[in-house]
Amino acid sequence: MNAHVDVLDLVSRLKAAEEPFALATVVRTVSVTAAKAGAKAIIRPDGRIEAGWIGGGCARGATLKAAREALADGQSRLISIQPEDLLAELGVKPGDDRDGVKFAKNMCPSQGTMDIFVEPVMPRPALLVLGASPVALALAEQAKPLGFHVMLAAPLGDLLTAPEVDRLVDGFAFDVPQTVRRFVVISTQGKGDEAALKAALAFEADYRGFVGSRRKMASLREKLLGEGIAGTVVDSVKAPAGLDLGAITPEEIALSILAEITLARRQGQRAQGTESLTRKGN
Amino acid sequence: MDQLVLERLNRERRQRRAVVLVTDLGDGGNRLVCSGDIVADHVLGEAIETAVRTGRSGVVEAVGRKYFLNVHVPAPRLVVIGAVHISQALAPIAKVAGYDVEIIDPRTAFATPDRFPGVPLHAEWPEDVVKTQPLDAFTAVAALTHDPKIDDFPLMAALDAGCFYIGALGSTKTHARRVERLRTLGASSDQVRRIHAPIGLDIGAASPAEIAVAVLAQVIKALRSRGCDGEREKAA
Amino acid sequence: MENAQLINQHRDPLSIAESWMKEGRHVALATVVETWGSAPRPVGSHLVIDADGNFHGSVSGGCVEGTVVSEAADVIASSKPRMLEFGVADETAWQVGLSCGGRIKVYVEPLG
Repeated sequence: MNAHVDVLDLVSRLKAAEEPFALATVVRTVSVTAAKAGAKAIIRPDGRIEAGWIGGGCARGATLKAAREALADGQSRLISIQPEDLLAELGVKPGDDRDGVKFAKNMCPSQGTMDIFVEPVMPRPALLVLGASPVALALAEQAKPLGFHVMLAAPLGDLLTAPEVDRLVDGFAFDVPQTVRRFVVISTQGKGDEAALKAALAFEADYRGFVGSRRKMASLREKLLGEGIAGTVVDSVKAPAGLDLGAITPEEIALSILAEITLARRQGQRAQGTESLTRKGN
Repeated sequence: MDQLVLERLNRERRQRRAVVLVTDLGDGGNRLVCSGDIVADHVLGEAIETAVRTGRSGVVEAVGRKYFLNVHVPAPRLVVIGAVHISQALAPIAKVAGYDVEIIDPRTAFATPDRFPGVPLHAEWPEDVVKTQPLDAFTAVAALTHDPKIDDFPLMAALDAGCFYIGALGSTKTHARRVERLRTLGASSDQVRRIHAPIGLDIGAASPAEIAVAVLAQVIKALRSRGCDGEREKAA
Repeated sequence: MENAQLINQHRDPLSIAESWMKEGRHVALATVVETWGSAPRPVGSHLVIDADGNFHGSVSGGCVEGTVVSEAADVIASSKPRMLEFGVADETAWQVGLSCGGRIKVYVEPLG
């Protein structure tokens, strides 16, 4: 813990560096507490409190646990840390969840109640576009408003102009972005299909799509199997990539892929109650 | 090519109607096939329909002869009612996808150029804009204001113009009330069924930018599955 | 796709062809009918040419227009259409320094 670092400054630094962390903020206190409303702390995924102060040992265990959970599921939560007798009065046990509030025991019996809001701040999901085809370039452009960290990898000689992306890589050898969710699209148009596919299969991804016909993918599949890559891994690639919209132009195909990626991105969260605005709310 | 054929071709193009110029590459003869006549063309009907739907010109062979089909399809327009958050994301991605995008919103606080850089913007009532730039079969309309005073008129106009896509923001409940209003204004039950509401493909969109993707995906799907007169959905 | 709403009558080859005909000029129309590889202009692109060698439009972004214009003079004189074929290997046709590639077929027909 470094008391000299301003928490909000560090928040913006970590965000800019795409580093995951949880921000804990004391929002309410009752009676004697070590920290007052507004106190903040930054908690890293390894459980380290990187900056700030939320009241030492009394609330530490419960806050770190909430931070760990928040970083795992991407959801914010409110915890209420109270002395055991007050919890009993409310009729709850430590660990209970009621009306969106999670209760925990204050480890310092003489102390009061602290409500702490814990929110995960995750790096942007990464969109890796492999190839310099018109579909690849259109996709990199269209993905901008959707909050992806966009990386485009291609032999730079194939690009007439440098696309506006977060990261541009020459060739298909790249460091995999360290983030929670990754979406990969291979659109090489016959130029280095195999090398790009191999690169795309070498790391965990939420979505892999190949822009090309089923037949093309089938012949590449044989080659990849021949090199010892597992069939189940190769079969995780959606080919052809994109929802079936009858898309014809490269830009339409790119959009159909973006729609499919959105579907994949939100599918995991739906189970946790994120509503589909297009179906229910608008 | 005959002068009359050329004149008619140019007239159809100016009117934003789909038209195909068929040239017999053997004897050099030309003829023009307009939207309404395509199905009746038994030799090349299917090829012409595909060409119009895909917007692709090309050489086809039929009964031992080679023909060149030159397709003239107007660029699709996307008219967005509402200078709202979703529109801010929709305009740039639709532009990339090849659409002529314009935004209409009489609320001058919303329709400001710095919110929509490089997008034609009308800070006027849709009634007034549609008078000078009528909607047509190659236009998609997305009504996004949530305000019946602004949305209802262009929806009605889009139905009457046979726009290839019509979508409206709002829940199923909101839309049920909208349907009642449009029916009172004279829309048939077949017509109101053409409105996509809640708007957008169901891709789990959870932010304005994602709703924009869902809307554009639905627009593309409508354009690429329509009949050659741009109104298959209407007929179905 | 073309934006007919914004068809610029002064730059659109088909509109120019129509006005030239109305002026009584002898006119030929060249059209890209097939392409292979990375051809510079898509199928359906037009070049309009009159008997004096004036022309508007493009079938190859400048790669083979010279040849098409001189062939058009024969087409106008004979009133017979003809098919021209150009390829990368045809070095006399594909001028150096332009982004020329692929193979194209251009149909040249007399108007009127």
